[in-house]
Amino acid sequence: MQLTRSTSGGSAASSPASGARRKLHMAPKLAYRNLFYDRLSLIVTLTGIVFSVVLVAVQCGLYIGSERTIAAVIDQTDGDIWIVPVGTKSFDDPSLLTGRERFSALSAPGVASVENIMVSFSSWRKPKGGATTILLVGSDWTGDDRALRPWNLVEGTLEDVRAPSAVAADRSYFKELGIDKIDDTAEINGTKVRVAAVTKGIRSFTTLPYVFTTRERAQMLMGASAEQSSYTLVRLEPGADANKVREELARRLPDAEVLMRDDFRQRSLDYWLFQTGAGAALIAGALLGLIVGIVIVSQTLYSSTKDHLAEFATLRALGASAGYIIQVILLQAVISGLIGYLVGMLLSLLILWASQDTTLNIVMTPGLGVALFGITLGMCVIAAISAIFKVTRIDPAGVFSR
Amino acid sequence: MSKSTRDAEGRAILEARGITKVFGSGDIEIKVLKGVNMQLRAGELTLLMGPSGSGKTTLLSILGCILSPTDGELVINGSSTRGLNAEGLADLRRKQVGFVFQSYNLFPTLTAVENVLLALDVRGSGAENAHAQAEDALKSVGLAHRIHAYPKKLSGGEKQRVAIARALAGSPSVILADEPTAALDSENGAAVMALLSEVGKDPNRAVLAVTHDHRTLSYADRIIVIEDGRIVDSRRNDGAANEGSKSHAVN
Repeated sequence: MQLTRSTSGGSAASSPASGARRKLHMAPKLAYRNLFYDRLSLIVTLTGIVFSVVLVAVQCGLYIGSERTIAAVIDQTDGDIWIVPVGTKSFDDPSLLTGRERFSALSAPGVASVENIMVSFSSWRKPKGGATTILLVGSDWTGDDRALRPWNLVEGTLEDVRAPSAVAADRSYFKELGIDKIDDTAEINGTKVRVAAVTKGIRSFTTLPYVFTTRERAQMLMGASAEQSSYTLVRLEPGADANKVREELARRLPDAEVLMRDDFRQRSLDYWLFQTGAGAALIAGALLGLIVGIVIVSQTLYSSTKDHLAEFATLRALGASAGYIIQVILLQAVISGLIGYLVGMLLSLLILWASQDTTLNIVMTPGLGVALFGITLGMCVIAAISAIFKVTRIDPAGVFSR
Repeated sequence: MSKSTRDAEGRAILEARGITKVFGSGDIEIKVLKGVNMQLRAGELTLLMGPSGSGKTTLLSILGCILSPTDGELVINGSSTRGLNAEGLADLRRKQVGFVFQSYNLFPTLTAVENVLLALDVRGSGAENAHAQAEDALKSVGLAHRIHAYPKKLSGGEKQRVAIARALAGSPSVILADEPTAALDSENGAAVMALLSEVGKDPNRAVLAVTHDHRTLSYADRIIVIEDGRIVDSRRNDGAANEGSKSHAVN
């Protein structure tokens, strides 16, 4: 056999490298081919990543959803300072103030307006029999655009809720409330009410349905006096020093707690998410998902690397730097992570879509999507460490027959 | 290249000076190489022969900058390996040495041309002309029609020719072949040796093949025999005596 002389000429090794020289990029090709060569191994890897992504997405989505649910009414209320009964743990933990808070607050310097809010656990008797507990919320929205009111109305109007015996209920709780549609009737604490408006997506973290009505009707249904309320919401005059006003109100009202809006919000979140352990369970679930993902990906990448060890030794013998070989393994991890992330996110979005009209509030935000992408890639890179550890200890002399 | 030109000794491209290699320490210390001195000359195919356990593979690993000697010095094209760490050795290997392995060691997930391109990539070759270089390398070993074939679709002889093309990619000055015919039948073995002999004619390159196969003797310009970690014989091959069999095998 005659060696045919090369026609293209040029020695890759001997020719000087020019600064702008394009790279061949064979490492990504080798990583991609190795990955798809072991189909079974790839499926196991992707299953691990997808499982992890879905679990972390749902757990984090539930956590964010829980935060939003717990703080939903506070977030919907335009107020600066909340006057709450002493020892109140959250918005959903109502008791009654003494009744003089409104006037004390109104006479304090820097206060623009004051709104009383009634919140109470009440008994809801279903039209077809049976009863359940609800969280009745009463507020004054007449003439004050900033007052607390039912939001996300999909049927009926705020005006309809002001009609005699009228209440607003959320569609996601229809089954639990034993109603089917607007205008259905039920009883609250033995008094007949009519569902005059329907909201969508106002969920409660306690799973007790919120039912909205006017403050006067709520007071009547609860048997409270006209002065009594669960919370007194204070709005400040423009330019007023919120801390000074809060301190003055606290001085005037020793039998109540005076909290800035953000403090009341945080107190509600801390109580439900951490004191009850619900949030910790969600975070633990997300961490578990991450750990399972890391273990599965780590196992499969390590096993795949072991299968290709002879090839990596050959690469090393050919003169590949440790960095080149690490690049191949990391690329395998990153490609797996990308595919796993895309499939996992698709599944997570399907789960979100399926839970839309349920009491389960799972939220996916752009920030969570980006964070999940980073977490997935990070997880895959961490999982690649054991494989890298193995491959950097290859003895290239192993490529020779002995 | 004419026979007379080949008879003139080329410059030493690789030189091993007093190479010693010891594995283990204390009671389990094994001295595998005991002061090896040898040269690989440009334009020559050298055969390294010796019985099992004589230190051939260890010597090949050191000559290929895969192992560091315990003592002694290796100089390739003026570059000494003394004091180089693993990455330094890899760098010298990348620039100066091409390998041909007994088991071909091709990447099964890459086609023939991609296997050659990978070697070019490892050697830092740019994308410009790389495909042409890789295809030329394959053409030069007679595999123009098998460029896009995966290794599993190639015969043993074809795989070894791809491996030779890969070793040639980037034009290293030293080609080291480890039992290149051991896994081949006599016909393919002869073809591969003929090819290595052709590769060795390059005046800027030296080729060393480790072999047990005495049928390969006829292709050698020089034969080095190692026994018990020492070079016991190093001589120019008598070309005239073997010319007939070489021509026969090449054809």
